[in-house]
Amino acid sequence: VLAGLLFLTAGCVGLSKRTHAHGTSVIQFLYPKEPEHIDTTAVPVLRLPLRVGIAFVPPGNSARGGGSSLQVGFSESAKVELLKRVADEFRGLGYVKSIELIPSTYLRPGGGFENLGQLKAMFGADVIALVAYDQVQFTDEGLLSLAYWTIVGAYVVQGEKNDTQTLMEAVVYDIDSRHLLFRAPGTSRVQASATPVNLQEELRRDSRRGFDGATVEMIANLKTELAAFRERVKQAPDDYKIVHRPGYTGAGSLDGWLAGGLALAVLLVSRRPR
Amino acid sequence: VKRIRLGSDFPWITATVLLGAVIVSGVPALSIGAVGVREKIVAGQIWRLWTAHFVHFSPSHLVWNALVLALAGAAVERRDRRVAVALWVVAAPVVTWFALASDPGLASYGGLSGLAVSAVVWLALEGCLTARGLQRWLALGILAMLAIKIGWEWSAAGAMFLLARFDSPGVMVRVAVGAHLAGAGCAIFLVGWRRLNDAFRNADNRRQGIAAGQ
Repeated sequence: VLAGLLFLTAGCVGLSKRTHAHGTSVIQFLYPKEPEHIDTTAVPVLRLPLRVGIAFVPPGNSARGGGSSLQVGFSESAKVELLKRVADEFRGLGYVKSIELIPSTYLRPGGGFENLGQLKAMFGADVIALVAYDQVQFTDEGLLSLAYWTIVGAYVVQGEKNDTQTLMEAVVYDIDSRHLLFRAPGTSRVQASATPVNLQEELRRDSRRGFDGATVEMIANLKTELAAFRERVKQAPDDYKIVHRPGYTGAGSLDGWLAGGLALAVLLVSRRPR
Repeated sequence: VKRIRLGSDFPWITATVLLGAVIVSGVPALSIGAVGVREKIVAGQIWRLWTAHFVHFSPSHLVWNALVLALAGAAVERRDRRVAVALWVVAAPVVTWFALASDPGLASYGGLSGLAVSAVVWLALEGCLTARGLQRWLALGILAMLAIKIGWEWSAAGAMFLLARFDSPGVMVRVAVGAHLAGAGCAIFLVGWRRLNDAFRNADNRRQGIAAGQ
């Protein structure tokens, strides 16, 4: 009887799978009505120094929801913290004049490029970095969950196996030309276990750890992508038109190789013939 | 051991300009007062036409410009000190003024390379006119190299390249093509001026010789 009871109880509380998913989508924000639509983009005109706006993509109307009402994701203060870290990467660049952190309230779900045009008018941003995320949390109950039929087991035995997978992405667009300049992704995977009693708390902790890990990777990729973008602009001047805003500083400068060549040539030319 | 002679052979003018550049570039407060800001020059701070050449925006900017000016300036000065004086007194303000005038978007200007280009072009032109064999070809090569550089700087790729080298927060620096053009123009003028001067002097001597003979 006891064995039968144990089997039934385990069948009720154990070996079940749950999923929590939440995130935002750049495509859903930019092309809310036609997700498969592709804009014919013009050649981006980069007016240097650039004015950069940074914002979180708002959740779409059909935001992904999980199998429970678990409240995870980004709080406003965490969003601001993350946007500041992204802004720091742009701050050290000579060709960036200003960086505006745009509050979430200025972006509406499915706002598209019309919404970005409004941000350009309001904040004066030429280029916008949109930050989006996607997080999925899986919870499985392992064999240890059989111990839950005892009350103490549910408090002590960590039979809940959590797997949290996070994707963060910064996508940088030129607003006028609607041209994607570059993107920098970051991913993380957090695996942990919990008891049924502290499952929600553990999931929230995993969620935060997932965001932290993905953010660190995204920031590192952002550095690389910014450098690669600058090289691309230099090597393909036909693909990007550079316009300088009035008010820049001019330098008379000789590059290293040219200066070396000139110095050597001057030495030889100025030598008096014997 | 050959002793360095600090007498009349020493390129005092070039050395003084280089010392000025090192001091001003090393002291940000001096750089602010020296850089060639269009509005301030128009408002009467005329000294900036000269002192703008002392200002540099990165250590490599200073080192490469100074290297070329040290060699070319000293060579010019050893050949004809009057030309070195003219470079500093006449070419320096012309280069700053032309750099600012030729690009309305340029708010300020700094760097020795306008003067360095001027000295190099003067030496190369003199080399083309007076040297023979390999030295003449070298002089022609220098002129070709500078023509390619100035031409490339006009293109967007050239401007972006320089911009990339001067990454400093809040300050966007791009190439001032007018400075190199003006430097080259001043050198051509100085070569012509020297030739004319020599021609007039020779004509005077000849006239005096004829007069003395009569």
